[in-house]
Amino acid sequence: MAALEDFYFCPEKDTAFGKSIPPITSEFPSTHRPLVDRFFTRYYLVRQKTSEEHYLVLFHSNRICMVGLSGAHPAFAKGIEQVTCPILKKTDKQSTGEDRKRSAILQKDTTIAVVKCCDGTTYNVPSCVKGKLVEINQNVLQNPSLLSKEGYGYIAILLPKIDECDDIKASLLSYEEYSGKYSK
Amino acid sequence: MLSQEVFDYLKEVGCCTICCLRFLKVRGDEYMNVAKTLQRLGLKDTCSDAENGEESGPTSKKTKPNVCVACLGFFSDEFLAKLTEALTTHPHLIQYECDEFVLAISFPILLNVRQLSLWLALIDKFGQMHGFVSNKQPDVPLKEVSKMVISPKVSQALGKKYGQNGMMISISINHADETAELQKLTEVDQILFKTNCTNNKSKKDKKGTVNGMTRGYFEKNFLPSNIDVDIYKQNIPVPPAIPDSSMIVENIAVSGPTIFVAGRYQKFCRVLPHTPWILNGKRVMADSVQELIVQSVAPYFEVPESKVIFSSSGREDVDVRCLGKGRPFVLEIPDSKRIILPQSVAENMEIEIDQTEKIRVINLQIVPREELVHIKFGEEKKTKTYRALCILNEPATVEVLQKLNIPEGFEIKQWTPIRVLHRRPLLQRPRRVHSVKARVDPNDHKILILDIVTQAGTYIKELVHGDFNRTDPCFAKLIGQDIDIAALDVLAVDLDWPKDVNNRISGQCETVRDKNEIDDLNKS
Repeated sequence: MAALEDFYFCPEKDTAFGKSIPPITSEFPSTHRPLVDRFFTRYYLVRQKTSEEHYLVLFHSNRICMVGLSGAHPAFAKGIEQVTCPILKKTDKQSTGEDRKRSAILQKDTTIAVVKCCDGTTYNVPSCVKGKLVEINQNVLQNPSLLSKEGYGYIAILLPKIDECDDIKASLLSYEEYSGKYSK
Repeated sequence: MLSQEVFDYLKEVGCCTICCLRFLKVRGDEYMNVAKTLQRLGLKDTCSDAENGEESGPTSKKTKPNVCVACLGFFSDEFLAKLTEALTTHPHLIQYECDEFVLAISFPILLNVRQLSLWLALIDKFGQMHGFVSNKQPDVPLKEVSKMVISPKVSQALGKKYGQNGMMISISINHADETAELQKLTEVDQILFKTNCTNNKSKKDKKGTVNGMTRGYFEKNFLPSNIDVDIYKQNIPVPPAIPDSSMIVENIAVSGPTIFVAGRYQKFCRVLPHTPWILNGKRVMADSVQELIVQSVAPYFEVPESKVIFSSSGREDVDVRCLGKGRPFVLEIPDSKRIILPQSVAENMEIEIDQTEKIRVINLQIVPREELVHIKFGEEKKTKTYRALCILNEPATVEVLQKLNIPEGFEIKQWTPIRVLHRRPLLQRPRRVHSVKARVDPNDHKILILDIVTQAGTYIKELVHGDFNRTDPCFAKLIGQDIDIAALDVLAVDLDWPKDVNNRISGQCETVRDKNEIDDLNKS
């Protein structure tokens, strides 16, 4: 029977410039924040259709945007049956991916996916940001339960233009604005 | 004695001995000793005894020979003396500590005109008898012979050897009559080709772009078979007239060879990018690995830092250390003033880089260009060893550690990580993880230390957390719970190049551990 002690890490002694090189274990940051918090800023879009729809944009520091549903979206309460992506049919597969020059440019309100709930209601998910479509998350199409997991539940990845980022951020709700208004 | 007839004729019209031999199709190193070659060919210089042959050592001054009609005195002792003097007194040439050279000589177009005039004269005089025909160059090109004659002289004058990897000496040679004679030639060109419709168009195009004659145009159109020989003869003397003056050295330009300095670097700093990091036109961090190395190496070779090209066998992120034996790199240094790097100088460079305390460089050395294949190719076959500091939400169990000890490795599919997706295309890459060894921090069981050996090009951070299912499988999936990465070190880059050299001769050299030693330590 193996014991945890068998796996104990013992750093090697190594030096540079006459000083010992600190082992990797001494480098553990005192505050280790989760992946989403480290690299992304949360932005929200709430739009009033037949009901109030809540969307989440994870804005990476490199301006990549991951678009999905916010936890307060009514679809979660109803139970999500299926997610489909009409733009995958409309535009050919080349619209995302390898050839960035040929990828489709989406407007803020372009529908990127349709969420169908168990009760039959459907929600058109808007792209939320104007930008090039980089990727559609095949995992969520196959497994809609992922939608509720922040980060993993992204529906599409978009790349906005550098000089439009500030306007895009201003057009969305910041985390503070969103949680103040909707007391999430 | 047919060759003798041609030889005598060429002498008579005013050719130097070397040019006579050129028209007799003498090749290669026969020009090294002209007297001997004459003897071998059974040629007698009957024309005058003033000509001793330029190559036959010290000549006794007799009646001064005319300037050669073919080479315009290029092969004369007088001109060669002028050239070697210009080289030895050249202000920049002496800056180069380089014992080899290559020559590039540019000649006036005038020489082509004179070659054509002699060509026509030889056809008239001898014709088929000696194989002088209108569609075959009559002589061994001056450029070819000049290498044989000039290079040894330059070699002697500069005390350097002729060698392909040496410094480049570009010599522009001109003649006082070039402009006037080319003007004349342009007029002839208009007479000759105005009537010739097939050539009219190309000529006009050429005229439109270049004011006057170009070598390419001349060589293409001015051929005995292509021109009205009578019109040519009416305007340009055949055989050519004896010139009043010899060639002049117009310009000498010198550029050093491109040399390659290789080594390995270790990186101890987690806030140091690989190359200058510029965001929206502003620097994000003051230094970079590239700059810290180049700033200590470039000055010795007297090359501006901006001209030096840095490349390495892969790269690590700004927050990743590179330990162990370090990562191979090479600097491409153009127009270098020096071609050797003594160990004492290399040691000083390494010590200077040490002062930064951010990186360390070892094995600094000059490498031949051919060896760059090691760094530039076969990237997908290389393996890299990493150590990742990872964190779990719950304390690790024996089961988790067993799942993460994978000596046999596994295959993954990795989509381009989100963190580089803004500048790299979206692609799914298959990668091999060769092995994983997992251990736990005795003081905090949530913290794991994973030693990972992978195929080069694997994104390690994503291998740990999975990048939202975009790397599959990832460690999080293998253990069925979230795992994140807090710090990463490169422990080994498995490229055995450049060779080990211990430059730390005077100072004590710290031992540098290699991968095997680390493995040994891990076992204990």
